[in-house]
Amino acid sequence: MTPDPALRSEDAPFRLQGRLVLGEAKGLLDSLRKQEETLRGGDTFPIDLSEVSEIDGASAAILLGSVRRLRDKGVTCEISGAGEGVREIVSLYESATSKKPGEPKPQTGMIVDVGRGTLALVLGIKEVLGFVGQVVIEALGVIRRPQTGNWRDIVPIAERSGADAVPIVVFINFLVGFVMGFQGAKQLKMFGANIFVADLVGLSVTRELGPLMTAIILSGRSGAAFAAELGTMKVSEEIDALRTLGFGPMRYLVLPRTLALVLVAPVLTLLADFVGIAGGLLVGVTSLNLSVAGYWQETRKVIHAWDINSGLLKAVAFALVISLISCQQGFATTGGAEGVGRRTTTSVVSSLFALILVDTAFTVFFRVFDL
Amino acid sequence: MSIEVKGVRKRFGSFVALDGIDLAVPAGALLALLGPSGSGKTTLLRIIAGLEVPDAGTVRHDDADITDHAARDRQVGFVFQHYALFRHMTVGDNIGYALRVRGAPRAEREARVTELLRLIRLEGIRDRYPAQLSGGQRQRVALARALAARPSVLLLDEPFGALDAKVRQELRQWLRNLHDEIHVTSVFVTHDQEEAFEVADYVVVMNQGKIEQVGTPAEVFEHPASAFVMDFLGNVNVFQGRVERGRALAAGLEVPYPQYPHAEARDTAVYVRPHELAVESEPRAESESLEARVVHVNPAGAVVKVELRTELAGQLLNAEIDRERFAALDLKAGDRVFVSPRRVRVFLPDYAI
Repeated sequence: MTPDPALRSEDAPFRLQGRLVLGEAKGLLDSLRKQEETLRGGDTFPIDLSEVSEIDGASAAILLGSVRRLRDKGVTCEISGAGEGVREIVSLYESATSKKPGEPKPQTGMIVDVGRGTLALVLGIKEVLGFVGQVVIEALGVIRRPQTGNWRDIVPIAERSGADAVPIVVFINFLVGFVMGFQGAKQLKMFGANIFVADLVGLSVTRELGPLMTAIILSGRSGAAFAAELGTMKVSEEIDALRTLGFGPMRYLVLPRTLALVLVAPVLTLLADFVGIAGGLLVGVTSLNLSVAGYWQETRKVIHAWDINSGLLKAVAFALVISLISCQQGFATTGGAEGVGRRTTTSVVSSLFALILVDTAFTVFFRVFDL
Repeated sequence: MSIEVKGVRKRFGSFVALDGIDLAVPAGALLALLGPSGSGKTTLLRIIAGLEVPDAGTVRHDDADITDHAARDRQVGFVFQHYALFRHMTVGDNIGYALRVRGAPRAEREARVTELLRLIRLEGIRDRYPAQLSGGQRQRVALARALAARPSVLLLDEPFGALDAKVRQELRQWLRNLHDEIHVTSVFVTHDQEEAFEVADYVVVMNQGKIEQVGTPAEVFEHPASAFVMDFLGNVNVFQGRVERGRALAAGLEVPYPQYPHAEARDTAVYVRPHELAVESEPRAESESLEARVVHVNPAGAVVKVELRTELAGQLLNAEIDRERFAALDLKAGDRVFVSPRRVRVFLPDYAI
């Protein structure tokens, strides 16, 4: 009735012949079973019914059951060549087996996707706000009873996110100052306004680029590290262990990280301001015929205390944003090592997005109040 | 301290994890939550621990309603499947951690750690880090850490699931002895029925967010309350058949079943445990035994496991026979034998008229 399965070459159809009726059903079932075992996801398994003269309900059900199992496994399985009478019976059973009752068909389409996306966004924002609320409550608790805080971890975390970040912060911000100066120099030279390079670099670095570049480095270094650390602790159930042992994970893990980052961010930003100006100075001295003293004099004249302070204010806000987003992402991790990687990526992307948003808000605010 | 769970429900999205759970754990008992994955047993344990908040229902310790208490206020010790030791702390610091959190003086902490290390028989590893320990040692350290603050309830989530067979066997015995020593009310989750039967005073079988049966290991094994429990407690042979007039008829067999004396026939599944299936070389009277062929023999173990295929329906059966019987029959794959059930079980839905 059926060919020896061993004879079937790679992509040749599985050819069934003759009468497929109840008496033969066992043989059909066995040979299909054998085929099922050898096939795995990605394979193709065409079934040819052109030489079947007669089929009954039992055989059709067996055949279609097998097809469904194969499709569930990921095998491409098509039935072809069925004659008029055979096709009628097969299609009769097909409609009965192809739909699983009780499982709603997943909805697709643009409107549904947009709706889902919006819902996910709103829920995400709600989660973050809930998290921030918890952190604030815990922080108030620690302020009321300082001995319940986890103060021991602050210094090591500050060292890792602050001191260890000094080389990269210096390097990047020096280059930023240098590039700014170079780009500005070409334009300013045309007006003979060489000395204003100092104004350009000084103001943009202290007010904008120093804090922002530092925050971007922090989100890549420390934010990612926070998300990965907390995510690993979450999936290995260490966070649950902390909860049962009597320490709130917020108090123990999130507050020291946030505080450490808030402490180091302004310091790194000051450093960034300084080396950024130094970068501009290098351009001024080497290609604009300015003297070191003259450049420095101009910088001192144009930068006021508020320019630096507003940058530091931003740095604190950025540090809060980075730390809360990455800790929240770490806590939300599920699904093992893969989940940790996914959440780490999300935490960096969301932090960068939030940084620019907050920076814009600051700029508008400062502008409106003419600060 | 006794635990009482009443009407607890919990959903995750559209998935119903717990669907109305009522359970009482007497003080000092060792209770096992047994069920397949997805049956809600871990969720129930986490709700008792305060790591998860139920959507409805209450959890009480003795007479106090603690449903809204945070995990840290519940006096529970929790042992996690993958140990969840703090990897940057030594074994001693891990164990003493709960005491440090509670502000216990250093001397008291040290004394308690020493005592617990002796209890888990790992005195020499105080200054090692978790990464330097074997799985069995880590799990014992995790247990010591959970016990450090003298919890009134000890909860274990598949504590031996990640260990190899031999270590698992040792730790089961050890957990049982430990419990007899310290008598703290304990609940542990497992999907291994052997483990549950060996260790626990009471076994709770769960399925799809509901409790199927509660009882001592002997009660549950001897009198399974439902077809699910029967199925879950070990490989069992199922025949499709019917019951009528005090007899069970299935696959050409006829066995007395006095629990159903009614004349009206009812279709049902008939269950036979592998050790309740007699294997013989000669047929008995008509419809008392089934002809079968030996497919596979597994002689490794205290009993010999034989896989058979019935001649008539081609159904696969599992039988367990003792070694003497096996030697007398001299079974090989392909041999023709006759099987007959010594005892059958039938689960009929409540008879409503």
